Amino acid sequence: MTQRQILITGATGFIGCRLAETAVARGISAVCLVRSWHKAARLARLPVRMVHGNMLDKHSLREAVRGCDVVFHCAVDSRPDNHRQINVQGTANIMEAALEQKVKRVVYLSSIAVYGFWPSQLSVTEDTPCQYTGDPYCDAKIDAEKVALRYHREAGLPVVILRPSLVYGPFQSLWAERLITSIRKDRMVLVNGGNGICNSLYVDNLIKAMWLATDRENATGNVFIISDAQPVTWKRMIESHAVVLNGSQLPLLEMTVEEIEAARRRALPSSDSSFQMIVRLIGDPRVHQALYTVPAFARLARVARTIFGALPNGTRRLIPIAPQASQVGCSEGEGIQTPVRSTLPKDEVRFYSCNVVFSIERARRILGYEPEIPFSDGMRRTAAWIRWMKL
Amino acid sequence: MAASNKRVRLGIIGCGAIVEFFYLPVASKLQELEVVALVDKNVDRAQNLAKRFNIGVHVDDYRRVPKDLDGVLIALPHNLHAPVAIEFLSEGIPVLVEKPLAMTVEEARRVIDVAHAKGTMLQVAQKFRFCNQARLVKRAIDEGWLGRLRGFEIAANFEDKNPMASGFCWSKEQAGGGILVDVGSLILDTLLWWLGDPVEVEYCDDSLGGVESDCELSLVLMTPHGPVAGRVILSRLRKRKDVARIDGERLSIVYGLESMMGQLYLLSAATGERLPFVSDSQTIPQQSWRDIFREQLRSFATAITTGGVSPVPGESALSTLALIESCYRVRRPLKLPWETGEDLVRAHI
Repeated sequence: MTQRQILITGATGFIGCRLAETAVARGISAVCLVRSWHKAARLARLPVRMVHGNMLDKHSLREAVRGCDVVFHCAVDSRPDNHRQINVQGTANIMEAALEQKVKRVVYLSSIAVYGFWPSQLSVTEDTPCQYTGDPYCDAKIDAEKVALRYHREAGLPVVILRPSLVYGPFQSLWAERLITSIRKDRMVLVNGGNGICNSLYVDNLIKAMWLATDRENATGNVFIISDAQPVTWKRMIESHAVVLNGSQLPLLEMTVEEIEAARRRALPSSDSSFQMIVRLIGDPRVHQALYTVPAFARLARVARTIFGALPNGTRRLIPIAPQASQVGCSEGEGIQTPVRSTLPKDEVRFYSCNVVFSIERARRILGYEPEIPFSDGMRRTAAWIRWMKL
Repeated sequence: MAASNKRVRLGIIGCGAIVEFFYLPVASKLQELEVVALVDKNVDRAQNLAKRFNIGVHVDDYRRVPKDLDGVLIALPHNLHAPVAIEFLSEGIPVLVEKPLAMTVEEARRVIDVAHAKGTMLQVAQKFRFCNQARLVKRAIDEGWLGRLRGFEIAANFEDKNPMASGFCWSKEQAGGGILVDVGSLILDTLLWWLGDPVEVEYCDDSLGGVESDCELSLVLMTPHGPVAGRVILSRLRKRKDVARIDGERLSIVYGLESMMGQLYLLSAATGERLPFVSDSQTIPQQSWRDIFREQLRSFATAITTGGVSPVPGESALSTLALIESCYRVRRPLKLPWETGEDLVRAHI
């Protein structure tokens, strides 16, 4: 398909902005939906048309879609109380606008999170059932996919859904910063020796799949898992980041799931205080989500976050919002200090020890997708970016 | 002009984030002036701010402000600075204009000419000129504390964390450029004020046809000690430590830029020993950003009431504007180490 003009939602984000860069390089005119002007510095380097709006503002969506042949829907809102509204209702709104404007193709960027963060299967394909887990992000992604497919089925909107795995690369600040910070602070542990599979996906491989999804006639109405070709272990991924820090933190501590669990039992007090129990309960995503349905709680949480966010960093660090790992990570009288990182949250332990592999056979067969950039090259470029950024 | 015992009646033209978060909170507590009118084409925004800060007049067109203003602050998109300043100066109303004064040197000269012709004060909002630490650096250089100057390096990272009222700064037509214009107007003004005008300029940035978010300058400045080479990096994306460092044969001076009250210290060239920096008899008074804005507004109001001259007149902006023009003239693409060249076909600008 020859594209004259495309719309990118989520264009100030890591993936949306890279997509815009490639659009410009291809000589394709790009319209970019921008919710927060102050986040648009990277995008503004490009000769694109920015439209101020958001996924719940139908007028701004109609304005942005006008004249576009293809819509890439990459917007996502990760704020807990916005998952349903932005990710599900927002998806319905952009599908509606695309339908009105008779757009030729909509590529919706979903996620492998529709299978939960630690699927029980060893191999997952598009035929593997999605799984509601209670996590607001994962569940919203499932519902948003249903919305998009309904528009295809009932209204004939030519929708293609991509489910990328763990996307990394230059400007994936959140992920890279988190890893680098954990490694630098000596908080990183290789669960089960780091043998879990991280299902990495270099950003440019994903971008290639996104362009292919606009091209293939028989792609519409389909869902595609997009990942790199070779499974990469967490050990390789994490150690590749540690090397960027001159390798000073290597070798990283390795612990089995059982060792971490035993350490947690030793480290945690035998009986929780009421406060700790409440904090842990609120921290559970299912309870968290349920609480957010209570308007008074959602308002209170927003006010608390605003006040907390307005405090200077130094003050924030002094406020113990919840018992920190460092407060409970060392039990006296046992002769050996339990490392702070052995109190890795249970969810993270599951995540890092998961051995599931996501199949890209359908994307290969129908889209003609073949990841060009192997992990070694992708990580080399990411490392160059990390050094440039001075993370 | 206002009598010396009267408060200066100020109009503010443009109600963006800088006005909301800095100028209005500061001005509302100043004895020397009172804000009597707000102008913004977004009339709801002007109305809300007027209500919040108890200001009597809010209009959507600067031509409709009260005629009895003693001065105006212009905080509009960059492309409107010069034309609007010329209109007020032509009516004899003193102007404090946000940086940059104009989009080009030629346009800036026109503004300055009108100010001179009308005998009306024109001040440019070069905020580092009101910063105690920056003044002390200037003094250290001027009085030769560092010895013969050898080099300089500035790295300034300005990640935009606060909401913006509009996206004008991402428009080449409205902003005139990217971080070089926006942040560079402040940082380069300070550098040239400290050391002298440029005689050699090399420049690269990361623009792919829009406005740059990251740029690097290699400069040779003509200082009182002769030509001195150095480098400036301005970035909205990188997380470098914000720092200005001036090296002399005897001492280096290091200034943390990020909050304007960042650390200031000396390094011995001979031993590398870090030395605390105090002025002759006292430590440096601490300032916040709002303190700087307060000083700036106060100096503007004082110059109006006393009929004095501005400490930062329009002419002071010319060197920086000329440097910015030179940079864009000799621009080369910034090498981004993760881009292989095949990944993206770089647009020629």
